[in-house]
Amino acid sequence: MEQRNRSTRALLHFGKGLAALFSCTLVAACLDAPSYPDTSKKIERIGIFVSQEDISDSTLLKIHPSSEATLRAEVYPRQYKKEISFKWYHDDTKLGSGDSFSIPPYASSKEIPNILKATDQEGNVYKDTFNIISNTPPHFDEKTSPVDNDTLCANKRTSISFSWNSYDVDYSYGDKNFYTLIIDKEEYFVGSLTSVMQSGFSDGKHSFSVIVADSYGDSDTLQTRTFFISDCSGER
Amino acid sequence: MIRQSTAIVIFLFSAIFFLSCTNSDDYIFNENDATPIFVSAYMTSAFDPSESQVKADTISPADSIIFVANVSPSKSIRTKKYYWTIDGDFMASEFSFRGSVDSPGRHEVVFVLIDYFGDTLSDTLHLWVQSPPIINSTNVIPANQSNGMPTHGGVHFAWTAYDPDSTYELLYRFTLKKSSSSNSEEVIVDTTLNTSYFSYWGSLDMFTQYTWQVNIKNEMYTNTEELFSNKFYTGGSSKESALMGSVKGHTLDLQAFEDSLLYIVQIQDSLNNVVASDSGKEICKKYFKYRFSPIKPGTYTLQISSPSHPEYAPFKQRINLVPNEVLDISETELVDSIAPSIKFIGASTTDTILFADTLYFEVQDNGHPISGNFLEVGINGKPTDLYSTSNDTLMVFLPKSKVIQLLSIKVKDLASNKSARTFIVEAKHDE
Repeated sequence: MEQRNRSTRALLHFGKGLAALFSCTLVAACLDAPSYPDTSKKIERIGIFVSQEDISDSTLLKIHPSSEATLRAEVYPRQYKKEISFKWYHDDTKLGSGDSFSIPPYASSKEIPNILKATDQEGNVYKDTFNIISNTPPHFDEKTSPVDNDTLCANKRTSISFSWNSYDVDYSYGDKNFYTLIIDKEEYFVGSLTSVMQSGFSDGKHSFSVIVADSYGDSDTLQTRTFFISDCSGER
Repeated sequence: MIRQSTAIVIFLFSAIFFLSCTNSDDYIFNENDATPIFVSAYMTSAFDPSESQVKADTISPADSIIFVANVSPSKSIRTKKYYWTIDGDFMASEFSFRGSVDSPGRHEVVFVLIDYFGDTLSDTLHLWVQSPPIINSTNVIPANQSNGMPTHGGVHFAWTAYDPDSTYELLYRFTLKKSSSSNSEEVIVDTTLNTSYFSYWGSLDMFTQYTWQVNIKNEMYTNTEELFSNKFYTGGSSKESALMGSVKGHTLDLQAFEDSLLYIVQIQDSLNNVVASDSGKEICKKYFKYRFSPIKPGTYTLQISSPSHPEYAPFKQRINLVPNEVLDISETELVDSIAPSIKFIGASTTDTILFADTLYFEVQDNGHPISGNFLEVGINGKPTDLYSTSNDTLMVFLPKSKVIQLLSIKVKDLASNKSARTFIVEAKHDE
């Protein structure tokens, strides 16, 4: 009877031990389980800015080819910028790294980045493709016809020559200039023409101006010229 | 009991008979027995079955479209009426018809059928009629009638046009023509552009009129409603000028003459010396074009006359020729302003004439006879037909009278210039 009780007691101890071992294993297993990955979005966006001479932090991504320009990557919120590494590419060619990139004067298109890769500490990569427009705005030559304050002998039928010129350093790269001639506040789109003849001017004061716009939308305006018409044909 | 049974049997028979006679089931609407009516409409460009049939389309104002309506199960079902509407207004009352919609913009074309029971069935088509491109004829370079344009170094043209629908690309057919003294025009440039400006770099003749035209069409091949056309004149030198123009006779008068009118155009200086002269007949009885180039700038008198028709009063105008410019007088019309004449042929030089059975009168319009249709002859205030004409001679056959008779003659020419004379015909006394 006593032997039977001992056996029963030993069995109970074994059971307790097994339960304890299971509990420990369970607790240990629970302690070793990985936490859920942090899916909260820390970085909201990455922006690219251009700085050049008089331009700072422009998002238009337009530069003048004649002077050095700087591209800068900015992370929002800004405190995470330290955790991000940046690499600048032109297509597949790596051009540099760091949060800013300097474009030298008269850089060729292959020297200007068009891809930014941002990598966080976990190795996640964000790729941004962009296009930097290297363009110089057109600029008017001051020489025009009629010259400012010119007096012309003409009647209403007489054709008067209007001519002007502008220069654009990008012209040789395929950029085109288009003109809008403004005579006495009347606008005439004259396309690429740089001289026209117009009639219908009465005696007195008149004015003309020209607006030039290139293919990229950069423009210049010719300062308004004033001219005077005097009918010296003897018809009056 | 037997009576009751008989009554019940009779009632049952009556009931069965009544039920069998009425057959009321036949009068209950059964959905399965009904034939639904459907209408559908579509547009097509031809009755050819291979042509596409559409319910919405974009067309040009001049396009012809066939509107077709289908009725299921058949067009021969009993209907009250059917018709088409466009934007709510009546359009047609046929199942199919050919038509066009000219008003630009979006339109809703609806086929409506009202069936025998008064139910309205309809189908709607959507039509977008595109607007023709528009050219701003005042916003062009060079302006109309510009003078002194260069003959070398290029002439530049620019115009402003747009498409109200704004989505279409515009194409410009640009033509440059040289006007000549004849009715023909020499085409110098005829090209299609996708820009609203053009430069002609070839050389042009001095002191000459040129016409440039732009016809605009959009991607739907819809043209501007009117062809844009402007003129310009080339210059020459600062010491020369030119004069051009055309002359014609009064339109009504021209129909009366078989030959074209001969004109003489002269430019006279301040001392009435003829500096330049040109003459010629009308082209196709329309007009005579003259041109003086080059001519020294200055003030002159332009005189145009028709020696063959002196009834046409000469045209005179003082002109000022400006250096390097063409003065275009445009169209001058010589007008018959001189009335016809009536003269008695005989010894009398006054209005009193002696009686004769036949009196002769000369009735003419400066050398040209007057048609009988333009004559009125009256005796003692009453119209008479006792007369005849032969060329420019009018013969009046007077009745004998013992008293004085008043003979009135009225005449008008083709330009409605009128003359009238009354003669006192003394009585003839029998000898």
